[in-house]
This record gives sequence, C-alpha cells and structure tokens, in this order.
Amino acid sequence: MSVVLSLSGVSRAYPLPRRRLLGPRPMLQALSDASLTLSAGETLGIVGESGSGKSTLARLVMGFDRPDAGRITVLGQDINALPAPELRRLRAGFQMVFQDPFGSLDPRRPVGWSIAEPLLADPALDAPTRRKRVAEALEQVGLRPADGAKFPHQFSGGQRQRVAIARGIVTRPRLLVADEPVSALDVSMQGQILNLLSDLQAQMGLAMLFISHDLALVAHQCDRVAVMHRGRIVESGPVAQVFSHPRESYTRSLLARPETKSADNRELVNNTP
Amino acid sequence: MYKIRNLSLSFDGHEAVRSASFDIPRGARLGLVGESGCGKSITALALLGMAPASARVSGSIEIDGQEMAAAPERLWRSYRARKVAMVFQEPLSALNPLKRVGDIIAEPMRLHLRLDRRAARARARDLLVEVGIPDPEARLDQYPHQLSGGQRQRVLIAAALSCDPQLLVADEPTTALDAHVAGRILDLLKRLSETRDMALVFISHDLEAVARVTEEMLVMYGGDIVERGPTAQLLADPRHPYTKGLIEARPRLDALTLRADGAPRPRLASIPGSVPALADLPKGCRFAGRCPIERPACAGLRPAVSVLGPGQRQVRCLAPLLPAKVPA
Repeated sequence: MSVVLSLSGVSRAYPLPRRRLLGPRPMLQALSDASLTLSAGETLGIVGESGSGKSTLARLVMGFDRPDAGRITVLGQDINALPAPELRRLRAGFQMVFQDPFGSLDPRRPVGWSIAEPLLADPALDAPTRRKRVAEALEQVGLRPADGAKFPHQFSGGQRQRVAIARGIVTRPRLLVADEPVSALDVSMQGQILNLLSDLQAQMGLAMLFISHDLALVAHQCDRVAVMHRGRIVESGPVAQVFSHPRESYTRSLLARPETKSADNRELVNNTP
Repeated sequence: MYKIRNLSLSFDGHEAVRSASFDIPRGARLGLVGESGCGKSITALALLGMAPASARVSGSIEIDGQEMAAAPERLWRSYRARKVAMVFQEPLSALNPLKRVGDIIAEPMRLHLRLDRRAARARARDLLVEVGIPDPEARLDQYPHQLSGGQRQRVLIAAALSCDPQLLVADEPTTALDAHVAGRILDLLKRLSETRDMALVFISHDLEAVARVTEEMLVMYGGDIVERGPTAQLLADPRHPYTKGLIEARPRLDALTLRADGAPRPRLASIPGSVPALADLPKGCRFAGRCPIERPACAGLRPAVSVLGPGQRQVRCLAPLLPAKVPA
C-alpha cells in the first residue's frame, strides 16, 4: 500500500499570553516530536482529550500552520517546502471535513457554491466541469444534484454534514482529514455518516485521518489508532491491540470505565479536575 | 412530590410536547432521554415554570399538592431555587463572568433565604466543599474564567444547591466536558441526590451517562414519551423501536474484541431519515416514517400507552417489540 501521509518528528509550540507586562512569553508545546504514517485505504484514529494536540496535528497536516521542527509529507511532497502555487495544486489531494458543518459552510451562498470552491484551485477545470463534479459529489454522499441550489439552513444536521463531506471529496482527494465529523450530530444520525465515510473510503481508496475524543467511535471506524496526551503520541498501533492491551497507563486511564464510587467523597476532592 | 398530568406545550398550534404524564417522587433519579427536538429540554423548563412565553402550556403540574401550570410568575419565583433548581449545559455561559464565585453562589441565598453577607459566604464555602472543590476559601474570590471546565460545572451545581432544592434539573450537564471529567460530574450528581434525598431529573442524549446516574428513564421522541421504565431494564430490553434504534446506533467499545485484526468493518446501525421539523411531524405515532416495523395505521393513529408486566414499564407503540431473549 502506498504511503499517503507521513509525519516525522513534527513539533509545534504556541506562545501564551505574558504573565507580567515585561515578562517572557511562556510557550505551550502543542505538539512534540510526532511521527506517523498513513497509507491509502487506511483509517488512522487520533484520540485524546481536549488540549492533547489533536487539532494542532490536523492543522499542520492540512498546511494551515507550519511546524517548528520536523517534516510533513503528503503524497510524497514536503508540504512546507513547496512553493505556494504547487501547494495549491497539491491541495486537491488532501481535504478536510470539520466538526460543525454550520460553521464551515457559507450561510449566504447555495451549498453548490461551497462544494465547488475547492475546485477553483485548479484552473484547468472550467465551469461546466465544476458543475458536473459538484453533482457527482452530491450523489456520492446520498443527496440529489438539485440540492446544490439550497442554502445550508434548509438542510437537517445530518444532511449538512453530508454537504460538508461532498465538499471534502469533490476534488477526489487521496487523503481526508475528518475532525470530530459526527460529534455535532444526533446519535441516530451518526451511524449514517460513519457508514457513508466507510463507503466513500472503499470506493475512492481514501486514506483517512479520523480525529475524535470518542473511543467507541474510533474503535469502530479505524484500523489503527494513535493516542495523544499533552502534545505527544504516547501509544499507537492496530486499534484492537491498543484498546484491548494498552501499554501506556494514560491509554488505560482513557479506556477505564470507573465504577461509581458514590460514597467515596475523598477521592473526588483530591482529584478534582 | 411532582405530579405532571397531560402536560402539553405547543408553538403556533404545533405540539412540541404531547400530553406528558409522569411523577417525580422525592429522591428519585429520572432520566429524560432523546435527541435534539424531542421535547426533553422544554419539558424540563416547564418544570421550573420557565417555558418560553411563546409556548402554550396546558395540563397540570402539581408540586407538593399545589397546582402550578398556570401559576403567576411571582409564585414560581418563590418556588425556584428552594423547591427546584437547574444546572445548565454550558457552565461558562451560565456563570456571570463579572462576578466572583462566592457571590454567584451566595446570590440566591441572599435573595431567597435573606441571609446576610457573612452567613451566605460561609454557606457558599460549605457548598464548594460539598461539590468537591479543593481550597474553597481561595475559590470564593476567583472569577469563572480562572476555573477549569469541570470546576465551573461544580460551581454551577453548588449555586443550584444553595437553597436546598427538592428537585435538581440537570440539562446535558456534561456535554462540554472531557470524558473522565464528565464521569466525575455524573458521579457527583448521583451522590448529591443520595445524600440530600433530592430528586434529580437528568436530561441527556447519552445513554451511558443516563445508565450511570438514573434509576428510571423516559424516552422522548417528537414530543411523545414513547417508552419508560427502570433504566437498566429498558436499556437491556427496549420495547419501542425508537429506543432500540437509539441503543444500537452507538458503537460499543467491548464489541471490538469480537473484531479480529484486518476483518471488515461492520455496518453501524442507524435510524433512517432524520427528525422532522415540528410542523412536519406525523399526526399519529411520531416515529412513523422512520420506523422499521411501521404498520399502515401508524402515521394516522396515535398509539395508546401499553403497560408491560407489573406496571413499571410503559410503551407507546401499536406493536411493541417482544421481550429480548436474555435473562434479566
């Protein structure tokens, strides 16, 4: 299987607000020395709590931000060494689906426009071709081509996420980064969207980076998993292995279903988050 | 102590809650489960006399023998905080950012119990201890933004407890929190209900959370209570097709051991379609149109409630599912 994405030794720190007016700016190490590879047709889950570095990882993979150190290679190209025009062309090969489709679709434009937007990066595609590709993408996600003329508020939450996915696949990417793609949806809708992602992956041979704090979803959806804690990948491997025989104590604590100790007041006081 | 009979809430003639009837006995822990738009949050607001002004309320809400459904705001105001209090979903927007933690918790006690500043502060400190916040003395003088998400939710709970309510309504109290923090908050709510003999209405779409906290649950869909019963029984042996769909829609972590490495990914069960808008809900069974075992009569005829077994379990379905073949 061909490697679609690889990270080696990637780090990123962000400055925090100064504690005092003239003091030094403290740094937050959002990602430290992260390495991973992802092949075509494979789904890699990234799990961890909020603040663990999951979203920083996604931003760096998408090239929205640059790492302080390390290399990120998408489809064999170092995305931070490419000149801007070439990165723009490569962009069709890796796309992202966000958590909240309401926030990622322009409320004042018909969704067909939003879906077509990533295609504008390729000057070789003329308007009729773009329209055809939008119609195809809508059908792939189980909507009708005519739905492209509707506005985001005219869709239900699940349909809106289908629109967001259509936008993610319209360029026929090889890599799709999905950041909490179903956490804004009702439980009864989540299955539809996850099944859709599985189908698209099988049809298109997509590599998928699936970011979630929900371990049960990751266990279901992913082939391999990387567990993040405080900016580090503390453990990674096949999902069944990592979740059934976690090596790291942090992974075990994530998986633990603590028994309800209703009378144990002291434990609550000492470990208050 | 709470008796709700035929409670209906409608907007522009469309019923968002259809004749709901249930009791909340003293110290009971009741889960209200459903997806967005099912009517659970608005039912909860009605319990506090806080249904939106645009809603038409009919039916009866009886609190300790007093009929409150049409009660004036003045009367509700004296009940809130002392009889019933609420914990909201998003603590950062429910806490006044300009007020210190101590003042936030003290405010209802100053107002309702007429405590002086010193007494209210001392009580606020005790409440912080009760909800498990370390170093309460220092926390009293901090602002909400200085606290972590879990601590903010604890402060909100402390404020809700300040006037010793008999009923605490918690609407999705943990959705904004990380999993292990959420678990601790759930355990705290359960413990408080036990130690204070305080009833808890716990609203959530998360069945695992409901199982962890409540003894009894109501499942709502499209404004109808479609199924109710003891939480453990209902989750192990759902009789309404919607409840069953909801349970099966969540992948289970323990199912993982059954799936060998490299084996194909199983399909996730899901309920087809999506929840219709309020105006488009079927007149009969609200679940018609999405139901896997629908009969021709379902869309036009609202099913009556059937009682299953010895009166504890009820389901609103023309053809309820048969008992699961698992020993209880």
